[in-house]
Amino acid sequence: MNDTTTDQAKAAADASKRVADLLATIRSANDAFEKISRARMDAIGAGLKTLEADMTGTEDELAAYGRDMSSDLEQETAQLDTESESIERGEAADMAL
Amino acid sequence: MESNTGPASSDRVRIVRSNTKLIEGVLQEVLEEAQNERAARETALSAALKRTLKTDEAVVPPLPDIPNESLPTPNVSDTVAVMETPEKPAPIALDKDEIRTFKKPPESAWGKFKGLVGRGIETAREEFKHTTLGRFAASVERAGVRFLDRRFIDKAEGKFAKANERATKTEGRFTRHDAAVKGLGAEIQKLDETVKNFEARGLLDEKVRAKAARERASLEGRVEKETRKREAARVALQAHNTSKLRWENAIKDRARGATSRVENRVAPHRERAAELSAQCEQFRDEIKAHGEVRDSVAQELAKIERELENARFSFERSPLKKEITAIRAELKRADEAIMTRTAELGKFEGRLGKTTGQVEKWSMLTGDLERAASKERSYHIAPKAPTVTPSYEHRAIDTTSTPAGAEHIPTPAPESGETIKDVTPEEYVTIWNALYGSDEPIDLRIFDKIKGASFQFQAVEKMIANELLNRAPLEARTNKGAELVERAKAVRRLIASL
Repeated sequence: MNDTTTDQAKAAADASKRVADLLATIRSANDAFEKISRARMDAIGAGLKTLEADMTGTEDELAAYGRDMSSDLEQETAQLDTESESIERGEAADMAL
Repeated sequence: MESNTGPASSDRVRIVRSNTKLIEGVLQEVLEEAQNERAARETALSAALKRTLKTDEAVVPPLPDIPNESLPTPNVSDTVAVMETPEKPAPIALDKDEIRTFKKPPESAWGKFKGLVGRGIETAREEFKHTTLGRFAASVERAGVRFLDRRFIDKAEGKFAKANERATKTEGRFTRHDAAVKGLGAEIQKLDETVKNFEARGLLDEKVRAKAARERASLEGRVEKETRKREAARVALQAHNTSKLRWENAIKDRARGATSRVENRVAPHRERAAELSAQCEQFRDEIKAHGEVRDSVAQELAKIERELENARFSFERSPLKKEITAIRAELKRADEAIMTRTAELGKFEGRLGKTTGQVEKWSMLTGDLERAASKERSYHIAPKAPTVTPSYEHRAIDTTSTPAGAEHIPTPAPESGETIKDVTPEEYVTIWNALYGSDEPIDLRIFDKIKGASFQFQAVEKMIANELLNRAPLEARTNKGAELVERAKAVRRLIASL
């Protein structure tokens, strides 16, 4: 009888310790996760915000670059077209000889 | 009508004092119009200004009172002068009380009202940017460079293909005339042999000789005609090659320029996106690890609870109830944190995916442009004319001379298997000017000081490169050097095809 009581007391003490350990473990893990995840979110959020803004800026800049080029391209195309037509006319004249 | 007016309305006061019925009638009309206009403006302005201006008085100062003594003496000629200048708007006559009640100068207030309308447009424009249509319009605008460059390159590719098609036809023409020249040459040779044969056999009397001579002259005439056509075809083929080369250069220049520009701007973003992706991945691992800790705690708790259920007395469970409740609360906290952070991470990954998609679109564009730039294009080889009479006095090629000071001038290194033909400066300059003469013409006179000397091909290249580098500003010479190397390569290719 005494042995049984002792075993029960030991089991109760053991359960108490395990529960205390578990509480400490999950509380500590939660606190650490809260801290780490907050820092991680702040870092990713800030990085993303900057990246998005920079990307938009880059696209705007490249679009402006494209627009600036358009008149040059038109001129260049027109000039090359004229030259091609001139060659064609010259050849047609040669063939007519 | 005696009145106090501002300095600008002094002429109107003179009209009032002239006591002319007509003028009074006009004045009355003008005054009524002014009052009506003022009333309408005040109503509109008070509605608009109330909404935006807190301190109306501070923004629009009242008109100053003008004393009667400052009014000029009335004069009939002045009145006539006023009546005879219809293009000058007549100042509005208002009495002192009216001026005091009408505190906002019409022009200034109207300008302010227009300013308000302008700000309204700006606000509307700003709001439009955040609508779906506005975002679409912005994305189309940003994507402009893609459509623009591709459109130009597509067009240039089409033009190159057309020039190539023409060159193919011309090559066929050249081949036909060349074959005709050769065939007729063989005919003449055969005719000569036959004449000799006849002569040997004593069959060549004057009549036969004359007939043979006529036939030979006819053949020579045809040879001449075919040769002329062949030369015309050869020149046309060169022109087509030049045209093709210019379109090719246009494609390459544009494609490389755009690729370089895009890559320089987008590459840093790509790296940052990759870094953020790695951070997200790490965050996901951390969430997963926390979930595993939570699960192991929950399992251990369930195990303890099962053991406690087997306890003989309920009081054995009592001391642990409080702590078990606390553990459950912490487990719930963990669940919530994991759920919240997973959702947040999902949002981050969504945004990152969108930005990465933007970066990738540009990468695809540069990939297309690079392919366009590095595409191998064929040229039709036009055999060189059998005889060329250079107008430039071409002497023997000196294979050792290099222009003084030109040792460090950039010229392309010979490619493997490349044979560099010798050309006269005149030939080189003609080709250069055909290709680049519109923006960087070369004058043959740069060779005057060494006229008569002989050159290696690369020496000519260096002379020209030296000349063009000297024209460029100092800070632009590094880029210029690279450009000159590219251009020299193009000239070499064209010369090789001639």
